[in-house]
Amino acid sequence: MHIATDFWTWVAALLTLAILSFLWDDNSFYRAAEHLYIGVANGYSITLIWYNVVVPNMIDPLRGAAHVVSEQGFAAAFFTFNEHNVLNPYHDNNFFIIIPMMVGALYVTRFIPSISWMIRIPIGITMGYYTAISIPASFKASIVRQLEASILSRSDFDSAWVLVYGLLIFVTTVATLIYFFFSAEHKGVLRPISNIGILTVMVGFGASFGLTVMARISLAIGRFIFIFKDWLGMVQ
Amino acid sequence: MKRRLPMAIMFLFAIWGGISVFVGKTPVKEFDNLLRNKLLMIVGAFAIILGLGSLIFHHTQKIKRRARFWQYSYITLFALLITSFIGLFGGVRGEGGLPTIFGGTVLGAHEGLVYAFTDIKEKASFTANPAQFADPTKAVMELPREIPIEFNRFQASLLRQEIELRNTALRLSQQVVPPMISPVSNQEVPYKTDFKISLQALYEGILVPCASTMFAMLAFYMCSAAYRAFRMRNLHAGILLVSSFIVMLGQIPLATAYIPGLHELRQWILDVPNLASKRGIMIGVGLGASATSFKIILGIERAWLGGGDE
Amino acid sequence: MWYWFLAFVLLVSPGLYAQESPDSPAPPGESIDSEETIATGETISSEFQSSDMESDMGAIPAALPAEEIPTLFPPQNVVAIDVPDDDGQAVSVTWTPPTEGRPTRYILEIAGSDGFFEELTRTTLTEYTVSQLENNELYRFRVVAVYENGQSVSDETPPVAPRDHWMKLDEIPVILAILIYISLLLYFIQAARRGVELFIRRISGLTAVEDAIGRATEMGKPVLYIPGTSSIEDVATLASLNILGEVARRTVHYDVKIICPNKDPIVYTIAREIVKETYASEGRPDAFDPDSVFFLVPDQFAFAAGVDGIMVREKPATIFLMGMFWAESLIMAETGASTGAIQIAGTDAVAQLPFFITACDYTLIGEELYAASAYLGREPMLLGTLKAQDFGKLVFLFIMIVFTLLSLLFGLDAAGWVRVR
Repeated sequence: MHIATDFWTWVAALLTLAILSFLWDDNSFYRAAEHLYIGVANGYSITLIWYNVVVPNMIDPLRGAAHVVSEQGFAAAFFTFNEHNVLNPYHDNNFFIIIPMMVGALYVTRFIPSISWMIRIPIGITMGYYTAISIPASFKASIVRQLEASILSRSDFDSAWVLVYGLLIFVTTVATLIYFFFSAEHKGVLRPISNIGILTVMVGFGASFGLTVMARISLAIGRFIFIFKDWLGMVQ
Repeated sequence: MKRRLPMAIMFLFAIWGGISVFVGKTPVKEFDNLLRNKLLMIVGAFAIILGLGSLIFHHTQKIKRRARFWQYSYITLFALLITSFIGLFGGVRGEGGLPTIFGGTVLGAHEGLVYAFTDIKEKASFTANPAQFADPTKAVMELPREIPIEFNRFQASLLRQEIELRNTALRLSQQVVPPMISPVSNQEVPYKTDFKISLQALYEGILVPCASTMFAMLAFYMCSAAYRAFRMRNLHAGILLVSSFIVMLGQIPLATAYIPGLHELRQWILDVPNLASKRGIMIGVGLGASATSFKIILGIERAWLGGGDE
Repeated sequence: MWYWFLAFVLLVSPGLYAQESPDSPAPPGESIDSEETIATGETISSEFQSSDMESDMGAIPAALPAEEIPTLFPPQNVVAIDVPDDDGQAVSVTWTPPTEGRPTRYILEIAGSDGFFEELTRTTLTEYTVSQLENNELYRFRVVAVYENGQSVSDETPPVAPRDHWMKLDEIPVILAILIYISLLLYFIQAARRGVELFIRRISGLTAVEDAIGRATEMGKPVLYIPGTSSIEDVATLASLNILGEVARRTVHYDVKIICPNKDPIVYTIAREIVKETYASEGRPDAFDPDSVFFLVPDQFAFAAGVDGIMVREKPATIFLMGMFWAESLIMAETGASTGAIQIAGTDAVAQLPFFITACDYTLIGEELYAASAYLGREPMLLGTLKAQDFGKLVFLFIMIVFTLLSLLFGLDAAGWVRVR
């Protein structure tokens, strides 16, 4: 038995135990680990945003632009040209980057009550753009592709077995769609169909549940291996 | 003004986003990439200021009000402060001005970590992955990183041999690790002598174990969720459980060998209801998600503007 | 009791270890999930979808013995064309099998402006779409047939340049589908404006919202609302934020405290605006607690840990888990269930729905999440969009059935009509 001597292995092991103790009940060890985890995770992400977003996208371009200004005069930093001699306002070393920074800074207007409504501008930009591009994306992936896959063709019916499968998938897909129909009560002819629909959904969900169980258990085993092998050195 | 202007701006960007998807001309594509990958990222980065402000406010408020368990808020605040201080001044891998790696020689400090290196020139760069040594099960959770170390060609070739030897030994047995002689100091370098408080060390020592433990707890939660569903005697949940049980059992070679038809049943569940339910749900979700997007763009759904009319 | 289940699963697990687990952990920082499992059974990516040419060829069997082939024949009819109506950078190359002999595979070679041919890919198919080329640069292609006992090179194609086009006409099925849907939406919104009565059936997960908040009032405990763990780029998050508005309106009405921790800073900003504005529009701006909507942490599992803490310490009477979730869904849902709170969950993440169904009292499945804000708000215009959603479903169901009939009865390639790259 070789108990680990590495400082961080001890930290990791104690944190692992503290978090696992939550399975029993909330306790001071879990509370301490949770608060530590949240603090460190926040600090970590701040650092990553600083190095991955702020420095390359804001500080570096502005520094580059300042350099261009000092050598070629002020206009050069605004009107940089690309390799085809086309005006390129989006060059890396460019004061242009100030515009999105100013828009982003509007987030901070929240602290000034009289103009706090301006926070809606960056929110609107982000929401407008992402909602708009999401429409074709979800139509393509969730509707058109699924439609294509659902349409049966003669070549799907090589054997009787495949035929049964194909028809079953088709029918249950239709039933699932009908279950989610909001405009009519599940009465009359819709009742058995929507029942088939929800049954299909539940059996399908069961399949994903069953498939995930083992992967999660292997993760739990991985944690115990860490405790008994890497930390306590009881298992070789 | 307070609602119209943001609405108009949102609409403009929505039109651009909708059109750019279907236009193939390169300048349009280039501007779209710039907008998505740079400009919107810059705008979004400012929101973290508000997020951070909220976090600090939440915890200082707790301390001030002496709310229940207020003492723990100190832990979060100090952890936040120290981590960002180490990260911003010490660099992600300890390359910043603030010293975050202690002990060992410059080379020795990293030798325990080195397992491969590329580009042997006057300046070589190492790809080091401590997980390879410390915890093989953890390897998937770690990211490889590069540590630039200066040494000459001769030292590099020596080091490469040493590393290969060491790696082979480690592969063959986790126990016997041959002593490693540093080509720089000609002295034996102890295994993992350095003490690090770099951001990477915090990541590996705190964030990774916490995340994997939370993730691992899912195994327990799955069992309790299954039991809960079983106890509810709800027909739908019951069907879900039975189907998941069949899929789980069908994975076990022993079970499929003794229960005839189990394997086929499992395959049928995966091929038919699993596929059909996902297809049906996805078509509905596609329509619902698009409807929500349209509602926001057309200004019908305006919770973000504070509802109401103006 | 549940540990018996665990014990059982642990017992059976060694047998399972023999097999590959369907999903393996991904690095933290990325959201970890088993989404891949959804992909099973989907169609193969359309690039490699079987074409007529491929079926001519069939699967390529092992080559004939060397002695029987006196000469090795090259692939025929190698044609390279710019992929029409796309955004450029792509050339599609097709060829036909040699007149005699059966190659084991083909090697596609490309030559740029320097004139040297280099290997691009190996394939057993007779078509390939080359991507990531330079627009307006000339490229030539040739195909090498690989036999067991040697190779044979085809003629070179004439130079071809990939071009970018104004309209991506290859997405016509998508554009058409969107146009059909927009007209449905506009029609029903107009109908709602005219005051046409629109019937929507009862959705049990949503009728429970009122009761659940009422329960919080009786117990004098707060309502916990988690607007998902994704960013604003997910429409599910936006749907969840719309529901938050409706839930907040009810909490103001019943005078219940609302707690809303957030994982994404932008989502936090919007959520806070929504709750604050709801308090203002309901005439109680003073009652808004600025600390009720707060930012917790951007890390997936740290967020779950924090929310777990809030659940066991604040003991909310009602918990809403609405929006996009990944693997952390069950951690939160199970902890919430163990505190005895009424839980209403809703997500379109198919991989997480089973966990919500087992651990929560009510679950909004898929599109019910998107229907929720309209259903709760009962505003005619929003209900109109809900109707459009339904009729869109009918239209696509109709297309599905008619196209299947067409292709079965007349042997038409109906699936090809809606195929997109």
